Amino acid sequence: MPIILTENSSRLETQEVQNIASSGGLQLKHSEVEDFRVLLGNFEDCVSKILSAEDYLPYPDLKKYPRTDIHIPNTTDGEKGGWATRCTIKCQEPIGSLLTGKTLAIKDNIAVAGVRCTNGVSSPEGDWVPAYDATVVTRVLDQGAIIMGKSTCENCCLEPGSDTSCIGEVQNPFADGYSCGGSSSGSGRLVSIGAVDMALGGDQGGSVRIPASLCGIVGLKPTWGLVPYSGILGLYPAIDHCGPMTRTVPDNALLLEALAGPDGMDSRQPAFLPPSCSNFSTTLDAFLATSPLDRPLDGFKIGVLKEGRDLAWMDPNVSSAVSSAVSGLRQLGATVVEVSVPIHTEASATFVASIPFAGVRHGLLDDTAGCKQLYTSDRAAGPSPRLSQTAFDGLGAGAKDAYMRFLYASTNHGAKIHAKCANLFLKYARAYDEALAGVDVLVMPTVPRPALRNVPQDSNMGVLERLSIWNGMLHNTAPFDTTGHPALSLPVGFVPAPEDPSVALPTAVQIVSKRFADVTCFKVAAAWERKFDWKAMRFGF
Amino acid sequence: MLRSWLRQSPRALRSLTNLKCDPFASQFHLRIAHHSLRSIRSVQTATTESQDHVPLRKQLKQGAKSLKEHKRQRRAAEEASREKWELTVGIEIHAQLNTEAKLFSRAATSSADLPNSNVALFDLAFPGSQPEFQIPTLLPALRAAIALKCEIQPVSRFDRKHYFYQDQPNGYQITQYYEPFARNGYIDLYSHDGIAPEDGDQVRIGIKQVQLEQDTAKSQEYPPSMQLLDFNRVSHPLIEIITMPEIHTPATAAACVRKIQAILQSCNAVTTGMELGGLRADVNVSIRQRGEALGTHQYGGIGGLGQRTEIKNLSSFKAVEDAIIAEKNRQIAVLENGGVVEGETRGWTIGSTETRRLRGKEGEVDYRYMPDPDLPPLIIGQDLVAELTKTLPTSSDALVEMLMAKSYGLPIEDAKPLIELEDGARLEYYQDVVDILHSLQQDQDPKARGGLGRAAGNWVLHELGGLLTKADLSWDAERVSAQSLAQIIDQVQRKRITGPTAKQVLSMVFDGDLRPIPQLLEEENLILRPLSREDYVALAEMAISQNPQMVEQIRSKNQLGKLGWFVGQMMRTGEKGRVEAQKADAILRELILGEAP
Repeated sequence: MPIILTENSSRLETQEVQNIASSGGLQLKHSEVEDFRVLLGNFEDCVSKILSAEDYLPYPDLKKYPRTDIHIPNTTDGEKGGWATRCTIKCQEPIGSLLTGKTLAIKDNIAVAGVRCTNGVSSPEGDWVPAYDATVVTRVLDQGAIIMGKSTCENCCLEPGSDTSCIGEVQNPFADGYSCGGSSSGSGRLVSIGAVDMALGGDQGGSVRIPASLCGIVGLKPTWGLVPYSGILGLYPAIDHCGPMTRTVPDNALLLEALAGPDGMDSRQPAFLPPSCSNFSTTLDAFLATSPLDRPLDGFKIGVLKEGRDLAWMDPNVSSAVSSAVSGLRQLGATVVEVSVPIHTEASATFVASIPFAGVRHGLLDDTAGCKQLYTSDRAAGPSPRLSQTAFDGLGAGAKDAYMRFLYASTNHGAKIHAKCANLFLKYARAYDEALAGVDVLVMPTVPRPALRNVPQDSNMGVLERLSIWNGMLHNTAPFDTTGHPALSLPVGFVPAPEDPSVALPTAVQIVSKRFADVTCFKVAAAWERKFDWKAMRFGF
Repeated sequence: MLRSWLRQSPRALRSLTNLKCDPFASQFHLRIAHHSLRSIRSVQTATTESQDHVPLRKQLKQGAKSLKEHKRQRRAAEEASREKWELTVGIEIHAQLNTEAKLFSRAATSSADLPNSNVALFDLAFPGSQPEFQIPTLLPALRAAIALKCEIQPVSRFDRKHYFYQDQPNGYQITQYYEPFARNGYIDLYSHDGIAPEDGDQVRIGIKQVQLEQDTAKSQEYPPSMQLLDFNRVSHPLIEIITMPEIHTPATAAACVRKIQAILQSCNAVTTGMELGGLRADVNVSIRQRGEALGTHQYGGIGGLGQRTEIKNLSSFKAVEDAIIAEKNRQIAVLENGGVVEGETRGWTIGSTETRRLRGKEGEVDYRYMPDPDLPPLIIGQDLVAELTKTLPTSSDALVEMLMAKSYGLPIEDAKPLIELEDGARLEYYQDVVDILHSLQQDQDPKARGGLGRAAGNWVLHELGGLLTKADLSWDAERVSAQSLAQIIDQVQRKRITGPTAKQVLSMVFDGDLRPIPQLLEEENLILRPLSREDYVALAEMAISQNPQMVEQIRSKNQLGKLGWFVGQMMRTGEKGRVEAQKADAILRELILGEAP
């Protein structure tokens, strides 16, 4: 390792070098001790110099992007749990007009300078208030959007429900007491009820698409790497996605157009976007304007993913709704075939196994290292990070479970498990690629069941029971986080809540296309949305 | 009377009940108010309320009963007077024609435009302005006359009818008094049109003539001293339809006006109906005592009638009927008290019990009719008449006949609403369903196919109609396509699904399920898997063993109606959608009554 030695560098005490070596189970020769006194002393000089130097972070120009009215909402303007923190931000000199006048909510795991960012957990040391903006925040502001605040995010982004955030329960827009889905729960609710026009969500296992499905809005998990993740708290880079949540497909394309493209800081992203992978909105508009009104999907081939549909725990009414939506696609001219991708049944289990090692280190311990990307260095972990008892007790069931699995995996398996999972993800990606070589999109229910009831805040329900009720809900969403394929959730009708048929809850179809062909998802979804009114469709009542 | 008419006119029933015109509804409100007053008093005086508390259900029942009794008494009185006195009624109907331009100027016709924005010089009688007959106005007039089976006159002329009033700047109205453009038509009224029972199944009312004329300006009164005039309406083309005095009951008179309106609307001759002022009726009423010497008066070529009075400007069907009843009763009272009926013009206000005198015979204006020298005779070619006759939409009478004939086989109760609903859109949809159904059922026995029209009628009107009503939605032929409905009916006819399943499937499609019917049936596992005889016997025996006393009642008292209850039990306990009522009934008869299987 090339080193730079200076004449008058510090030296460590002999005892300290010996202690460090024995903490690593080593015994140094005497001459080695002397050498390392110099080398480590020199290293410490270097590190202290770096740590005391100014960081390189995207601090916003607060004159250009002024933020006002920052406050924690009370019970009346919190929109039933939707808002975590309110603020108003508008760029004074936008460079584009894609989102002029549109109001936005930003998921509470995305850095907005000067506004607390909870990530769904209350920190014993007080809330994190970043001094910089995530790239996506700057991008929407540059296109004329008005940010209205931070939307509630579930506990450490590790929960598919909407009752685990430190903010409190988020109520389903169509039925109080029911879940919005998570972890972008607040974004789902706020867009659905019209409190904002659009919202940003994050998706590591379905966290954009699950709330989109349960709240009756359009949510896209874009191709991995299409939208920069810089300045967003994540689980780990291979599965981190940030995506648009909107009421309509054209709005979704508009927001994606504002968000997409490399920012030069994020190694998840390609250096250049593939050709025809931008201008999502104009491409979609042109498609809608030129395709025949009755049969816009002539020539499209749609694959119904068998392993995504034939699930033992599939709600029959969700199945009917999705089957009906597929019939609608056929009416619009598409050819429909059944497609089998056997690894789909195992992908979500591999996803779950991959979380503890890398996901906990990144997501829970801020023990981040290794990728070329913007680090949230102001919250990075100190020496030998472990969760305190208070911190552990403040976690949701999903995060607690992940942490315990991390401790278990660290003791019993180590990096092997993560390495194996990561390679299997490559295998899965190839399997979907092969299926998508024969069809334009794969379709399946987004979530196999309608929204569940929220668990009340004062409930003493245990970790196991809490995790059991959501069992199998990520079956169709998580696989595409591991492979990076774009996946869009489109509402297709109402189904009754299983325990109360008088409660009507939205359900959705998921449309998956080739990587970087996000616009194909838009075309199929927009054609359906233009012809059919999902709010007038009811199944199983 | 109103209710009997409502029963026959579902569309009107819907609109009227929405407006809370239902006599029961108002009574209901009254009673509630009364009841709550009493409750307040009972709280104040702390008396026990239990004794004078009458349950709401009972109140409603009593209300309905007393109303029924009142109606019965009124009917009896009417019948007695009808046996003694014969009523004769003739009707004049003014209808606004659906035209672009006015009758004698190029100004546009309008009802919603800014007042006095569509006025030509002639409409305001500017000195020197001349009438210019607008030929296109003739088309709706001719369509109406042809639909009323009139003889179109090759030559007709325009006359001036003089009177001086601020709503007519010329000082005369141009009409066709001496030589109208259409004569000698007729209209057939059937019992389903709501004619009085004493008129039998059908009655034909002659149309004496149809004439073209101008409308007057619209007046708006702002008492005490302001009157505003809107000349947009001056010279709007009207037709006046004059019937022969051949109507002898108030109900038939109302039915006649209603049917004329329907005919005018169906051939697209008029702008709006009575409810929006596009149609107004005047009635001529006279009576004479049966068995006495004939009267000395003659109207429209029919002699021997009593002195008539004219009631002007009736603007609803109910007003026509009620005004005639009131005027008839008034004339009877006058004559029975030894008086004489004066020839006079009378008015009627909605809700009153008596007509009121407007002007007497002595005050009758002299219209000084004279041919209009500014307008040439109107010459109508036979070719135009023939072309219009050919392109006229099928009349509702012909449609009723078609739907009740063998190919559709609908009962009148279904045929009539089908024709009336959504201006014929429902009928078109129904015909599509029947056509598709026939092609789907080609492989079936022709005998079995005979009932398809009737079955389809039931599904289109009652099942689909019921879903629309329940969801409070307006008609949309796309919501459940004719193809889908025909497929559902086809499956029921083939007994591949049960009736309740079919209703469930219809409701699913109605709720937005886009799946083709065969796919839907398969995916939802709805296709009937017939139960075995053993299954039926098991279900029946379970129901029988649980209710021995009812079985005994059926056996000993022959209360066969209770079998239906058992069928219901079997359908509830059996697997949903698999128990067929007919088979269940047969098994029950076998087990309970010992009938041969």
